[in-house]
Amino acid sequence: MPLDSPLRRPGPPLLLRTRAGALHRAGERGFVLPLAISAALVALLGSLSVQSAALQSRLDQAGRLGLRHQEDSLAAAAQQLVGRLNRLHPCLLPLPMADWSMEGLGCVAPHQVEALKQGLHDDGAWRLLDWHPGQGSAVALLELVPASQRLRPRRARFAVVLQGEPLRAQSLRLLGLRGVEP
Amino acid sequence: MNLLEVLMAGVLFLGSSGAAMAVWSRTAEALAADRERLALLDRLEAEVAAGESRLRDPALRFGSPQVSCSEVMGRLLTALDSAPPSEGVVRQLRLVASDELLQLRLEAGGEERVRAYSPAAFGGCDSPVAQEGEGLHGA
Repeated sequence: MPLDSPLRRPGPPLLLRTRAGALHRAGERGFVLPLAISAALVALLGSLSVQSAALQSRLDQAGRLGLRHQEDSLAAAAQQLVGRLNRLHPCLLPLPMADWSMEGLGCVAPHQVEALKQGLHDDGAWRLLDWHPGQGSAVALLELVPASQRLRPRRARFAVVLQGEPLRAQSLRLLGLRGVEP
Repeated sequence: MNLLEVLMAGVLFLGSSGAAMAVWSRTAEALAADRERLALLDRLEAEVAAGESRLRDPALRFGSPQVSCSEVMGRLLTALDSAPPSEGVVRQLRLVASDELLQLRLEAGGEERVRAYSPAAFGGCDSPVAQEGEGLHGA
């Protein structure tokens, strides 16, 4: 064993050398593994974020499709209503809905009015909430009756063109679905 | 730095980047499918709007209290069927006898829109539509 071997010389030189080596190795270990962990975290968090954005987009799309189907149902309900008014109760066309139950109207009996204000379609029931005539047109507000009380009812406004002699509804157009939500 | 540490770092990095790539790839596929579905829905919406604009044409008066509802129904059918549907869109027109409505069904790539029209809503008509059953027309 050589005379200058560290084992032959107890004390500081051995400690210093050992600590220096340990510190050196610790510095190297702290470089590669944390970098890999950080990169892995960034990659996984990024992919999670992209996936949640995609899920949100899909939810939005499903919501839009649902709105369009509800719009279709409300449009069919408006056609039913206006068809009934034109064919069976045309005297109500120029009157606001509050006056529909008046006595003495020639084309409708008061007990028929409630039945006129509601109906059934493929997707469920609908009801008329308001009929507001103006000059040459009227605005109808309809609502789809929700299947469950927890669901919010969907409403839509329609502009109805009133023309001719005798007065009849000639066409109708959806004014808005979202803008009239309760 | 020793071999074990490098190996661990490599496995961790490769595993996470592989998993992330798989998620990104699936997400990209889903987004592409969503975009395609959205385009289909927009095409159907355009088709609905085109049909409705034909029905609102002020030059056409479909009905009046003196015209029979069957005749008005025929005019509505002609107006809705006067232009071919967009590519990829299947259009079907049929009479829903119980409701006296003309149903327009548009379908493309598994998505569909259904509109219904009452002949009496276009100026009125003088009698109920004859109960002719279903399957009046298809395109």
